[in-house]
Amino acid sequence: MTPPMITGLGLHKRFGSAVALGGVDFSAAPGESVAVTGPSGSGKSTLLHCLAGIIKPDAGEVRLFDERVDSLSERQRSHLRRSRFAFLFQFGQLLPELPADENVALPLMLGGDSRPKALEPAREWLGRLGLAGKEDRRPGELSGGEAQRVALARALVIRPAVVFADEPTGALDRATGDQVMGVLLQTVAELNAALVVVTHDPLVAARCDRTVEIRDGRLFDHPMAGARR
Amino acid sequence: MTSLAWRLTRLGGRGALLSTGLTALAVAVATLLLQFAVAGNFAFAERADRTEWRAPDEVDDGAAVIATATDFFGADAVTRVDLAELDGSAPAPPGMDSFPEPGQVWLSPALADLLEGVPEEDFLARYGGEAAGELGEEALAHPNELVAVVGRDAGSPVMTAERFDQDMISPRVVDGFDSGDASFLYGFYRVLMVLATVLMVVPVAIFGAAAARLTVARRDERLAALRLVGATPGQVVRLTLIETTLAALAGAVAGTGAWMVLTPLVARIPIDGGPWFVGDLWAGAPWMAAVVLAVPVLVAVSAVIGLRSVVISPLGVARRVRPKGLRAIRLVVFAAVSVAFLVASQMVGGGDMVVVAVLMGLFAGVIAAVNLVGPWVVQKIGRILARTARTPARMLAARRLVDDPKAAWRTVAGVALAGFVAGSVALIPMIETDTDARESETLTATVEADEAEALAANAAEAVDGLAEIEVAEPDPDFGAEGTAVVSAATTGADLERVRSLLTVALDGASPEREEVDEGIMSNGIVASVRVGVTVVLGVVFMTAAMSAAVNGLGSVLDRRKTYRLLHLSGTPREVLDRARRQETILPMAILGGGSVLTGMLLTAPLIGVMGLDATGVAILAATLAIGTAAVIGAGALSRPLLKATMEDVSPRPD
Repeated sequence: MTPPMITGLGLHKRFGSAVALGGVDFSAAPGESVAVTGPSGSGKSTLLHCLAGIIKPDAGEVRLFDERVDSLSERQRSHLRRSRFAFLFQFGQLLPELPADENVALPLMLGGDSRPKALEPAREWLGRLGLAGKEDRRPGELSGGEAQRVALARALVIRPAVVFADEPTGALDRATGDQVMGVLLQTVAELNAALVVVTHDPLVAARCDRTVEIRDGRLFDHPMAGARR
Repeated sequence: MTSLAWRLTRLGGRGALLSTGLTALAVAVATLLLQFAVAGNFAFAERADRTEWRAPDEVDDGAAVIATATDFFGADAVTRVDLAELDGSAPAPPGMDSFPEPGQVWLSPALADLLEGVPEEDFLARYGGEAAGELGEEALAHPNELVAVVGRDAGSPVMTAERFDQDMISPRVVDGFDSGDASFLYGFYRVLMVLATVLMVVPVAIFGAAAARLTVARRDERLAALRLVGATPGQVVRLTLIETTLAALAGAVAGTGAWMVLTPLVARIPIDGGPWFVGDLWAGAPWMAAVVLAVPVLVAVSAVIGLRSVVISPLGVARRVRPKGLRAIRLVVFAAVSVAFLVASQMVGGGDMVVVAVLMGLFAGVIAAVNLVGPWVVQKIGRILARTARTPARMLAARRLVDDPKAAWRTVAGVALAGFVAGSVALIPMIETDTDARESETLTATVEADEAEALAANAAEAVDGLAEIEVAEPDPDFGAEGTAVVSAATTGADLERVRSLLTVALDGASPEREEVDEGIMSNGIVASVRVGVTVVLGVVFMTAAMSAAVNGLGSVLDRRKTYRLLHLSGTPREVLDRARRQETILPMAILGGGSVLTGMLLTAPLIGVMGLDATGVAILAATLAIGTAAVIGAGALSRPLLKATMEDVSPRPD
């Protein structure tokens, strides 16, 4: 088995008196897709935020390959999130005033690339995801599925090690959701990145390599491990 | 309905409370400034009213004779009122217990202070009498006014000789002091106050309207939710209106309260050489209430306009499409109004009130047009910058300018308008005449030609060798028909003494130092205008900083979701801070400079190009420095909120 790409060991996190994570171990290997399911308020998003270095766990550690993530400074974690991780949310992560190509180019420009240099791969990714000719459109001028594919292009343009997705198809109809999910799984596999998907949707979970479930802050391997595609 | 609106506000969470509170605060500041502008007009009217008794209406058969003159003493001008009783039935003038007997001199408190320790021959001797009393407030425009009332004998030549200087009143028969003409100086000041009002009220109104929409913008999602559960558009509009209007009413009341508390401070602003009676600032009290009621109504109207885009769809969240290009018609309107103003200002013949009113209206129109063309310019700037941007911060800033030029304009509108105001007044000449006594001085007084020789002989005898007396023809351009000029050449040391002797010898005419004393009056006006300009700029800057702060906070609240997600995906806050700073500074730099130039260009033909003097340069430099600092400072106010917003990842029901 390949060594895991992202690992969480003994993660604890509480908000006030509410326990969100009560000792969670988690890992995902390169090229592997893992679905995280569970009822509302079970701690799914907290796990994702801990793994991505957005919040620090109260106890436990997070590693990207061999590097500790949770002990880095806020600045270093921001840099990590920008350069090694990618995020896909339900909706709303695109800047409404930027056209599609600039939305995709933004993370590269934040990383220091010049604008022409950043726009080139951005347009390439848009083309790959079937959005050729729509580079100039603003998010408001795109359909929900198109906007989500722009968000996907933005996530992938930095060639991330890990992609975190939080209900990526939650705002889409079934057919469009299927399509976005298919593109997501396929491109993540091509990049040999790890994919962590938080979802309610059993059909989305079923398309991942593996499913884990969080209940009351504890992690269980899902009895029915998803069969890929 | 009202209770539901109130409940929604209270339960709307911190964001809703914050935006409602911001609206109330913004309206409070706007109201405070409005009350100031309104009260200012009434206060000038009050001052003007109290000068009326010095120029009562002339009657055929009256109780007293009145005449006025302006006497000079060092760097000061003293208003002299000569009074003589005719038949013993004359009423006591305002501020005095009784009609002055011949030989009685009543001084205003400030004049009494000024004359403390001054030898009688240097000043009081001019009036040939003894100080008999102090003038009360009712007789004075302001507490520091220099006024002397001199009781005369009706038969004395002082009360019969014609007076020739512009601001003097020749002896006239009156039957009382109840009605008359206000001092022409205060007529002039009142026009300036109207101009200042226009300059202050327009930015304040723009700011107030923007504040009204703050609450509305913040409501997008919740309004949509209300529509979703079946509220009709009308109900949604009403709910929001109630909420906004209540906030505005609270703000208007608070602002008016603040104004009332501040009146004693405002009363110390010196205009025309003196502070104000606090009572003058309360003269418009009935209008205060009108302002309190009018402000929420205006805010409500502005809110309705802001709501139009929101209530249509239950799916609410307005989708961002390609930003609508603002049409160039804005530029055309601006150009048209500006040209109209320029043309009208060239056609002004006299100081007709109607013409002045039209000009003021057009000037207000120009300012409003600046507000129209501003967003258009902002969008153009954004387009250019978006094409050339190299850094992500610059790109974000530029796209935002293109996307919502009106919001960006609202942030800088205050400074741009301040620049316009500063540019308009920078060219007003502020030359002050030096009034120090020189080694040799020449005093001149205008008298009737027939009597010139006799008066000159009188004068020569009176001065007894202290001065050389001559009689000359009047100035061919300005001198009145049938007059002659008596002049006295003397030394600086004997100046005031000679002046006193001459005033008596020339039957009450007021001898002036050549080229100096005419400057004292304009010095007073220049000083007042300078104070006025400072106050107006202060108000406009306060508005600018407030609107920058409010809009900065508002834009963070508006975009809190996006900011949070940007933070999640690793966007450094510094980039966003830099982008937000550039959003304001870039248009401010261009529009600020542009509006200074526009202001200069528009007023140059009106007041004549005198070139920039030091004061003008100082005003401009201060405008730019304070404006930039204020807006950057105000923008920095929203940084903690941005930080809190970005890093807020606590669990939420989305």
